Amino acid sequence: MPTIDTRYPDLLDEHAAPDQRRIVSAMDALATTYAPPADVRASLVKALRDRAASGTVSTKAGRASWLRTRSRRSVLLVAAMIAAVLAGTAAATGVSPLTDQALAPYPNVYETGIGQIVTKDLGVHLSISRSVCGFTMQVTRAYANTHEVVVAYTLSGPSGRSWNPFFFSASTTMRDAQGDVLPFAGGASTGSSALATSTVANGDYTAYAMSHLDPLPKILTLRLTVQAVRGVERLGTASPVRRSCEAYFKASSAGPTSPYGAGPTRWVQAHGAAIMTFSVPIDRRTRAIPVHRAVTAAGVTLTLDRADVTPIGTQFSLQGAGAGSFDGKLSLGVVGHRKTTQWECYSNASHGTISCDAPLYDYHGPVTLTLRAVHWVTGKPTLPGGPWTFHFTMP
Amino acid sequence: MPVITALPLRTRAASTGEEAHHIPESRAGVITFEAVYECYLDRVYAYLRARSGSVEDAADLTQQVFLQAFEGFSRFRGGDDQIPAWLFRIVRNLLSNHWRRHRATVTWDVVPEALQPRTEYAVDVGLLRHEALLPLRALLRALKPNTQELLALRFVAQLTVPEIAAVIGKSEAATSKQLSRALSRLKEHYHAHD
Repeated sequence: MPTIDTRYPDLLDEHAAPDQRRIVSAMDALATTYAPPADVRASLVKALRDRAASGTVSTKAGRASWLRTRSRRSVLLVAAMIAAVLAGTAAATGVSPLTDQALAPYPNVYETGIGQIVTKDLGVHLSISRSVCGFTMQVTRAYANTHEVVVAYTLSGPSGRSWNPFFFSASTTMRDAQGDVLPFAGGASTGSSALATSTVANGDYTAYAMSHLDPLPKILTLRLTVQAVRGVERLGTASPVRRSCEAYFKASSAGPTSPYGAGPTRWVQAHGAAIMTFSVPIDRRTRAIPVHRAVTAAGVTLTLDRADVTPIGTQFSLQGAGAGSFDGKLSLGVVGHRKTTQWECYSNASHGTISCDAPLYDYHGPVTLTLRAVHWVTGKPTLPGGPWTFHFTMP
Repeated sequence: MPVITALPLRTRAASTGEEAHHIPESRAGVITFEAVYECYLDRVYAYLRARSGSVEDAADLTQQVFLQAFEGFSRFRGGDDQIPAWLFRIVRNLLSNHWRRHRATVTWDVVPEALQPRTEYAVDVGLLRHEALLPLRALLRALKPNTQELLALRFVAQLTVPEIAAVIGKSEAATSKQLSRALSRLKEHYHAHD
């Protein structure tokens, strides 16, 4: 902690009079009373994330439909603000893979459920690479539990061309050993904070639901098919490359006004097919917590039946009209510290469940789940009134 | 739900200036927007809290500052030692607009830590400090706005004299002299309260 002398060397030299020292000390004491409330940082992170996201996808652009297939499972993925922390962590632990950044963007600062895969080293480490039209996907890690499978991978573009490391994405299909498709359940990506100059790649993860498997095997054999990979290419002065296995789209969201870089760019989508097969043990740890609380707001009654807590997330089962159309926040009050931590939650319309990216597997204590009826794409309210707030305790 | 992606985690190279020690660098030796955010969030908020009318205004303005800074960071061409001046010029402009809209001149408002107590000890200490500093707050409120701004930039935002000079557009010598004069005036009246 710097002393007052080191903070104000221009005002307090070794000859400073006592009254000078006193007024500087008083001014310093006054200034330190202005500490930001706890929620300022959280709301600012969210605002920056929203700004980043809105800069990525222009609603005015006639964007391809595949852009909508990614997302959900957001949780402040963007990570952004924590790069300083990432940098510190990287320095302390050595190389931090891009996929670890995607899974756990702010380790030790804001813990998420999905981030537990990294912080608790869950699942299996893999190194399987496949190429689609010169784009490369490398699967680095896989984790499976009773609810979902999470696969982490890096993506990079063909060499000899200039790629924006923040915009790679892939379309994939996951199948089990019987050939049944595991539904897409979310995903996110992050850019590279340290490797972008030498390795133009980004880290992603995708989650797939697997509740349809009954009974669950001990070891899950999976087949991941890559149908397409996309990236944003920075164009130089020479004529752009054109290849038969690539399609091109106007990159209106990555233009000169974008924080992602100036200059002409284009979206490139590479078509092809690549298959990766691998196995992952199923983590069967689950806490099923009965809740059975009903809350009525705006004339709508919602019943929270139970919470299923896995090592990487918490899922709440809801009953009631439109139960699948609610997004919310899960608040966790830590007893004895007057501290509240929040995680974003999103609804699964087809199951009437709310999934929260909260690491509650080892938590025992009071919980507040606040739900709002919002459209899952636009974020606009779909019902007046609310929110629906449930208080209960995790034993 | 929009496509989720990352903010640009690397944008510009760090110089080896003294200020670089204050901003965490990534492994590749670059200053990231996130590092700037981490380094200056508390100072920006504190300054805005001292200079605006309420906790809510300070929080709102802080958000506007960092959103605007985020938009402009990729175009910022200065060295990392110029980041404080760049950032606080944004702060200053937004604060001016805020005052124009709200016609408020509330400054150095009372923001005891007791409003956000974390422990009983913190409440006691906060209240005691609050009591002790009331005369100083009153003196500050009586100063001219530009003098209040100068003191807030030095003590709350913790900017150095060269950084303050860059923010307010004056020479270092003039800034230093004005700061000295303001402190002398405060000193004189502060002792009168003893």
